[in-house]
Amino acid sequence: MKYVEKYDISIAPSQPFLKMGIVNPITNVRLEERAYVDTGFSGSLIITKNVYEKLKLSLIEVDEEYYAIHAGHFITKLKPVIVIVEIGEFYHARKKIFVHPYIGKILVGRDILNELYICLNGPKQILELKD
Amino acid sequence: MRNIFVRGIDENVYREVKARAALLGITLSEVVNMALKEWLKKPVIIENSGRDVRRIVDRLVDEYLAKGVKGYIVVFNRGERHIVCRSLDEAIDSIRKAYVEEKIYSAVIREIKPRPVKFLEIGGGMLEIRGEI
Repeated sequence: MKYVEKYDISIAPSQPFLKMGIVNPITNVRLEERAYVDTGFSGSLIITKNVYEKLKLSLIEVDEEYYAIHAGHFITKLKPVIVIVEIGEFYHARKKIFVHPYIGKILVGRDILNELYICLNGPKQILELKD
Repeated sequence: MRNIFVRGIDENVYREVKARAALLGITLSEVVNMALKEWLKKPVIIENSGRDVRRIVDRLVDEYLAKGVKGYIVVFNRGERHIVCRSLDEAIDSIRKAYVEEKIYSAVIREIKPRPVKFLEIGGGMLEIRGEI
């Protein structure tokens, strides 16, 4: 199995991301989105309000209180929802992920990253997933 | 430009803002304008129905806890009805069934126990998170 993704070079410095399938387990509707690698994020996945609405994730919310602490200072309330997360043939899992009210891009954090063998090849600007 | 009178400003906050504005050589009006513009950048999230559902869920959890019931509660359509499930799998299956049969538009799952409060750390600053840089 091979998974290789070029860094997003539209941002400076360029940024690695994973093409992630996000599936509503109730409707089975699937969206594929870029999830930017963020090892500074301790959770699983943070999605935008736009993705929450497109996938109708109001059907699968979890009543638990989660707060994001940004850089040790700013606190933002998150909305947890349950989805299926897919990354090629490497990863398929039901996960509790979080809707952030202000976020502009999807972030994948250590709760998922720590389940993968990821190689960040900076000089070649590619991310590879290995078995 | 509009002139307004604002009540109920926290005394300590007012003093600190006034002192900082003086240091920066700007007026309180300029500070207020900056703060209001920042607040407007935040997307509007309607939480009222969320709070009502939360109250309903809390009440149900308290009732079931008192009876010694374990498992998960699923509340449909902001409180129209609810069911109790033994597991998360069963809760998700129930929502799926209800969605197909009744066309529900929302469902909230809660484990029958006191609501946990958890914190997640995010390293990025707000401008980066918002995608502005």
